[in-house]
Amino acid sequence: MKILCICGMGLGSSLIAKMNIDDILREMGVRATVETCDVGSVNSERADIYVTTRELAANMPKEHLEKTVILTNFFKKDEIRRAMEQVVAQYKK
Amino acid sequence: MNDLLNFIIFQLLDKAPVFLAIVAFVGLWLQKKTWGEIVDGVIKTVIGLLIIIIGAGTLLGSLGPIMTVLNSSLGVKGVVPANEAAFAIAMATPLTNNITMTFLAGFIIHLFMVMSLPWKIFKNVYLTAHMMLFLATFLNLTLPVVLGLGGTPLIVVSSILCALYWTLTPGITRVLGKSFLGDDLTLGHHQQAGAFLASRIGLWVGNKEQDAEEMELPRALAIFRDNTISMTILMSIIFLGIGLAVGQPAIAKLSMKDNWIIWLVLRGFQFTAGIVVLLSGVRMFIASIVPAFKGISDKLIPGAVPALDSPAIYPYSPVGAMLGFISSVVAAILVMILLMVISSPIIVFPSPIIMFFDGCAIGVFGNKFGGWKGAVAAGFVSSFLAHLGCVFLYPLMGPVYGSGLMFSNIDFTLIWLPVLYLLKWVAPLLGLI
Repeated sequence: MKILCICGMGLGSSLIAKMNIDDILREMGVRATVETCDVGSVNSERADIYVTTRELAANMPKEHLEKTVILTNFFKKDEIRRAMEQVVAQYKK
Repeated sequence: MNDLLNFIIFQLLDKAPVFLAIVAFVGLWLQKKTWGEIVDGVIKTVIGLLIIIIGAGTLLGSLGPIMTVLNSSLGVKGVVPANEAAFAIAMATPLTNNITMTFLAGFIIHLFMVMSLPWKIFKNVYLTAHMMLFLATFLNLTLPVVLGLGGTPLIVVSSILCALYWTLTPGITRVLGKSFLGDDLTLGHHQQAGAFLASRIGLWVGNKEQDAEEMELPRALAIFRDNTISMTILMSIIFLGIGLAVGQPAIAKLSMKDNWIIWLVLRGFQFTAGIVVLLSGVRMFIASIVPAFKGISDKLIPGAVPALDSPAIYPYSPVGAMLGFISSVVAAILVMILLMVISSPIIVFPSPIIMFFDGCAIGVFGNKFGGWKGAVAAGFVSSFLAHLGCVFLYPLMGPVYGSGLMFSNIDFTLIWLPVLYLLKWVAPLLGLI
């Protein structure tokens, strides 16, 4: 499973998100590669799940919307954990 | 023995890619990564650095000739403040190792300071590696100019100044943001003094009951969130503007057979392509560093709050952020016109970073303290000061001076401009220059 974290430049908050998601998935025992990307390049990146913030949701390509998880922010671990549990359950179906 | 030492110093440590590979290796090894991950991280760090240098070449290729024409035909120096571009230019000079050493030593001193300060508001760890590299670069460029420093003293002074800034300023935004950010994060994006200014302006001109979030802004504005798109539009307009100012004959000498207008617009695209390239390099470069920094700080200072880059705070007031951005654009254009009218020798063009990243962050703080009026006023004042400050900071940029690029954030003007001019004033008294 490949997860892509998206922020404006793909440098700052998406990297924090990547580290948090890595930690959470490890605790959950799920194997996945988590990468970062800027909103401008998201069209050319393939992933199973896209994670971004409310702020950039409007900029996400329409065809990825079903696979997009929208968080309030990238560092509240509880929120990320809830979202990841849902996503992983759905992905396994 | 001497030969071996010489080999280590001049062939290994002095070659930036080799030095960085060693740094990345140690960082990954300390994180107890597997061998596969270590090889991956080390190679990507070095490739990242090389990509940054390639991006710098593209930027200079697009900007250089036009800035030269502007200088030779109108006698003015033009500058576009853009952090990552200025950083790339500096990384292509022999300063690379100095910058890396300052960045690493600065972070270690910063951790030590955070551990030893007793006050809770300073228990923050700066985790925006790209911004940290930019400040390390900025000081390594400017301190030789104002203090005449070089070699080890330059690294020592730069890293102490970096550490002081990284330790003290996130405390400002931690206090300011407590009511809406909680105690979960603070800002670490060279805007912390700017945020303080925004809060005062907000309190002064506005009323926080008139929350910007109750307003509706046109959805089309969302397109400017995409850095690639807003940078291309902005840079094409700047190149066109310069082209019109110097006239067709001067540009035709550069564009050769191509139509001069189309050639100018394409320079804007080329510039952005350079930025996209170098950002992918920066991403590879810091991907293994940030987790290492976070791992170390989690162990040493458990419970410390991360100081993050400004997009982390936009969700707390997206409309306020947009208002700050819009009024920043207005101020940027005004400063450019003002500088032309008073025939300043340095013309500062609108900076994508100041308008977007500063504008949005300042807009959030403006709105939280003074509603929509606060967001608009704070964005305007902050962008005005940040652009104007570049006139005085640009000549201090050492090897980057004249490239048409420089660093860009409100705190460079609010904090580093007075500090550098103070140092410049005391340097002769200390016998340094």
